[in-house]
Amino acid sequence: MNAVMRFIKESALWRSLFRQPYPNTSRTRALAVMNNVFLHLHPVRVKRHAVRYTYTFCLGGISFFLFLSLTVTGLYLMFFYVPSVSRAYQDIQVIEASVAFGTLVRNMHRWAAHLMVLTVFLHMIRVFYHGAYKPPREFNWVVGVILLFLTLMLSFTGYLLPWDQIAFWAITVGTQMALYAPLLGQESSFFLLGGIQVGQETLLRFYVLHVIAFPLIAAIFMIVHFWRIRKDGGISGPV
Amino acid sequence: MTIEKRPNATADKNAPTQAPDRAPIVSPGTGPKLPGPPGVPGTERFRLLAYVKQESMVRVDKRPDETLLTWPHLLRAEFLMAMLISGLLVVTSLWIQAPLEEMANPAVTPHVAKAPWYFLGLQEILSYFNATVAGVVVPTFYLVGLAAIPFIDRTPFKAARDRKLMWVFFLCLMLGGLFVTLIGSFFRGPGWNWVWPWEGLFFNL
Repeated sequence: MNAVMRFIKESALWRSLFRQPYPNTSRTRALAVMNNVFLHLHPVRVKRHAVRYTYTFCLGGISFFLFLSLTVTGLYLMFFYVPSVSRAYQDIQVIEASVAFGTLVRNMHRWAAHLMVLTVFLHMIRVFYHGAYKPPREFNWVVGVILLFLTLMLSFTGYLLPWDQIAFWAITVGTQMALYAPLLGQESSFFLLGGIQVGQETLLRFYVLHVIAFPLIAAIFMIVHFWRIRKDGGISGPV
Repeated sequence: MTIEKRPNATADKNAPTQAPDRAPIVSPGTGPKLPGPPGVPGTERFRLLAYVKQESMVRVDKRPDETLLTWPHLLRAEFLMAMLISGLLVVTSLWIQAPLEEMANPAVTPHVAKAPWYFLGLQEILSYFNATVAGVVVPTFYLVGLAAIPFIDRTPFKAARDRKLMWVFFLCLMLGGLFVTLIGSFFRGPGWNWVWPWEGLFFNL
């Protein structure tokens, strides 16, 4: 057994994947973070208070993790969903009735989406409490507000997709408020809905925004958000 | 610790004027003799040899270490939290079914048509003011007001007593938003009339 393990660990394939032994010294632990494309989002060392659960309650991290979970579950749902008024509702029924893990994945997508709106708000409150918007972090606070807006838009556009009575009337009520913009007026109805009321064009529009445009824009702002944390000297200090 | 002046600063008239932010570098032996018998503790005096500004990449002073290694400390916290949230999400999704009503029908208006819960505050405001206020003015003010916080509050102080105005402003946005959202969610029924939660819940997630 040991010989097999040694053969595997000394193979060129293994060593090309894992460039160093398991990190258990300060040096290799630092290298592990520095040399990994995903881990190097983090600095090698972090402030002691930053690791305390009660300092951040992990709210920003949870929001990001929920975004990733929503991407994965959303991708799965996309395989079984067609954004057409004649098919969308039946597709949801098929997902619930006969797709493997369909009900579970749809439920996870729905509850993670609601939870993400909540955690993003709570994250903002936590950041305000610690005064972490103070210089040099003003710009990152603004990026955060944009991400809050994008989170709401992601949730709102997704709300229409099941094409049931809840979805249809919630979006009808929600968009009617926006249609009273003084400058745009009824023009914005066509811009938002693709017509004078919620219909096929609206479903397609919301679908494209929901699965491509908003996730992509949100991801770009998240990259900036995380990058600015590093550039502004890491997480803020206690009050 | 005494920091001596550069010995030739006044004597040498031809020397270029030393800018105050430039580091005076004094090599040993050029200054006057140092008083105090050698080796007697408490009588030694020191000369400034070099002044290194902190903007350099290399940290010169070694303070007590207030940092932890990301691996394992931060990554462990992140991993545990990711597992906890995943577990919570799976358990919730196994127990609570996402709503799905009858297929959308523009001809059948439900008893109460509500926006998604995070817009119910706006819908509540819509019942007091006209649509321009509820649909445009309030959300714009809300988002722009939030984004403007760091540009209004320019002081470096973080304690709540040092930024009372910002706290009041922020709490007005948060608690005001929470208040109208709760009313719109749980106290409004058919025709947007007042309904107590125990008389009937008109709320979908």
